[in-house]
Amino acid sequence: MELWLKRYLGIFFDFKYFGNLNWLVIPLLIYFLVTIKKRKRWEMAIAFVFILSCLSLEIKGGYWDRYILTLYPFTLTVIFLLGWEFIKKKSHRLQIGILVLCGIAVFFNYYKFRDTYKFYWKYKVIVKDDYFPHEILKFINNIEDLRFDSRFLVCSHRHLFYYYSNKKGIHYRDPKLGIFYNQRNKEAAVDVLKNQLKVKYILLHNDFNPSGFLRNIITSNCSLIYQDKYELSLYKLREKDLDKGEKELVIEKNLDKEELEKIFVNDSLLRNGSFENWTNGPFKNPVFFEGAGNIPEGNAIREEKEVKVGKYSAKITGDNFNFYQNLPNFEDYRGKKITCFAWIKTNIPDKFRIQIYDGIKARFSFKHSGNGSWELLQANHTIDPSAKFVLIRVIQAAKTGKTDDIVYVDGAILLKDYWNTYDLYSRHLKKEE
Amino acid sequence: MILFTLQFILTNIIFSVIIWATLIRLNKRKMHSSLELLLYSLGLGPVFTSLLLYYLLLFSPHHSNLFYLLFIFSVYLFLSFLGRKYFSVLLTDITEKIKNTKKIFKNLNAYHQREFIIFTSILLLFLASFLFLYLTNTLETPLDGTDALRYGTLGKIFFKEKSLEYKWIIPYPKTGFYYVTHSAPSFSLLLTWEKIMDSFFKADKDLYYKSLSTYYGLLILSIMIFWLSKKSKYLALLGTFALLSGSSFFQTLITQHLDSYRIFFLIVSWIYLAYAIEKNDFLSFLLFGTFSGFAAFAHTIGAVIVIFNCLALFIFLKGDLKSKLTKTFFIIILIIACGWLHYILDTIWGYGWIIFQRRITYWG
Repeated sequence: MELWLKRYLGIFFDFKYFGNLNWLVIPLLIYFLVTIKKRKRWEMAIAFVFILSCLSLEIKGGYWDRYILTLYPFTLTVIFLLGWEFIKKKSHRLQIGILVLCGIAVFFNYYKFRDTYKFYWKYKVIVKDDYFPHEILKFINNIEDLRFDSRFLVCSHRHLFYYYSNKKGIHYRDPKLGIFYNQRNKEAAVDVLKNQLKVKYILLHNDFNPSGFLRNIITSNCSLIYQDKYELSLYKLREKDLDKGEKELVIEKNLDKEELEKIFVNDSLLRNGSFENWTNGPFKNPVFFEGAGNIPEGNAIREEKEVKVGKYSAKITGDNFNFYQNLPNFEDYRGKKITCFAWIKTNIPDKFRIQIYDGIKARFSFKHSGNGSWELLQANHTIDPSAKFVLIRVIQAAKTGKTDDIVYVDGAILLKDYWNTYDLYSRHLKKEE
Repeated sequence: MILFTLQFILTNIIFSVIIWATLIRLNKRKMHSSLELLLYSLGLGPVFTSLLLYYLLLFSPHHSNLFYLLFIFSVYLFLSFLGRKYFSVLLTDITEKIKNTKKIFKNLNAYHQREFIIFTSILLLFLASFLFLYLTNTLETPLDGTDALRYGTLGKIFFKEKSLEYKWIIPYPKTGFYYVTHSAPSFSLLLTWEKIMDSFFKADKDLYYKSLSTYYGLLILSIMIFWLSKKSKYLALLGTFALLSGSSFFQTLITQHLDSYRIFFLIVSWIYLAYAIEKNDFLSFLLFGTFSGFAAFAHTIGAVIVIFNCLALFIFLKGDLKSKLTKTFFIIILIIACGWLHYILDTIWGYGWIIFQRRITYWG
């Protein structure tokens, strides 16, 4: 039903975009057809064009309100003109009554969708809160360590990039990147990115969810250079990767599976990040963690089989929730950078991620790919100087409508400053030296 | 802001009035109201400039900014020479309209005079408030919105290269800009025009380009008010509120996009379709073909719908088959000259979007 009302008959029944009077064109069209013998040729020509345009726009472009907008002003004018012709012979009172009814219907539509008008009023008319990413664009334009052929890999907001920046870019869907995506291993992919495609920086938005090598490269081979308040991040590809010796050491020590939480337990600002402490009971929230209202009791439980670190992990079942810890002494970290890592496992793609939220802005990790294995996700954030709290949401679930989706979380750590896994390996190896 | 005002008045008002004066020459039997024609002509200045720039960049690329500026000014100078006797018609008509309105007002009783004053004041207050907020706030916000940015990027490329070739050669090698635009580049060329004018003042802005959506949105609103106020002023007021009660139209007034630009030409083409069939005069056919062509030049939707326009004309026009064919053929030539040519060139040398819907993603 919604498909018909919002798509195929959108011009008549999509009240949010086209008001709630457009449906009147249907009875008026019937009135027109009934009185067609009295109609002049130009009227029939207009009706002919209108009907054909309606059909072609609704069938081909009905999913897009901008296409249907083509007919909106004309339809409304025709409704009023034809409607006037219909009521002009009626009594004066009836005419006023019909106009008043239409007026009420119009104002009801304003009232019903007032939030949309408020939004546009705030952001486009009185321009309260500048939402435009001025700073990161300025930062990009001022970057000087680029050769003439160096490029930005633009994963998000490419039109913003190309319009406002003076730098060269390549979009992540550009067919030239096929050679990158077709590489057999990460090292070859990095080599192609750096040396063939000449990519030096990567620009992306928090909502961008890369897959395959790109994801791994961003988390392991890049340094976060700039992060603006509107969730655009700029990464720089490291010029030097782990050297051969270090790589061998990583493999030998099985650092991929190393218990980061144990290594950095003294540095972590999170308490009970490996979910070992369940003194409230195995079917209640682990100590220091809360589920925000829409995790009913019994939906966040101790898990003994799917474990990454130590003896237990947390298993959460649900939809549209946050599983979090309040950062204690957050006042000490106002204006400071932090990074949260957590191991997450799920079969559900594009639903679960980490979020750090300070009441003013939020930062996210990439979403878990849903491949059923443990993935180490990370989120970086600079706490706002006026933050009144900091919530470390080690699991944030998007709203999908499916309340029986399962996710496991383990080995969560929170460190000061921006880190990625490369840094952690290096730091750990240096410590061992 | 001063430069923007200059560009706006020159392109949207002066150029439009010049075109109007040229057209009104053809209104010999006064079959058309000159003020109504002026209302529609206010949308012609920008698009005709864009069309001139299109042909110039197509057939005479890689020249200086001064060359393109002088050429366009020469065309308008020539048109103003053709319409030189008719500028006074505009002043006469406006003066007469004001006199008639004063006469009608004096003949009203006190109640209706108050009603008229209140009604007019409300309308003027809304318009003034909107314009004040728009010019001081909305227009100053940076350009955003995917479509506006990519048309804008294309406009900048045309300005840099002084050529249309990068409409078809993807990606643009100097920046890697990668996008296949399907519609004719009319809207992008308006930013190109702004940049050409800016180059003489060492300015770099996009205020004029950003203002187009609002300008054409207000023109559409004016056309609706014009037609509804013929029946009743209250109907016109209700119609205005009803149109804005759909958030999609409200957005066209305050965001940057080409929607109102392309819709304007389609609406006016339908008005002149009706006039062409009803009045059967040369000016109606000329304007029908011109506005249909500009609708195609603005966007692919227009390019498709004008085919229905031609069909409607052929089916419903009075006359024998030969006369109908001749007139429809004349309209088709006009449509091609005023914008459909782009789709023909695109079919032969480009992506053939409109017919084959080829989605070539990389070329060049």
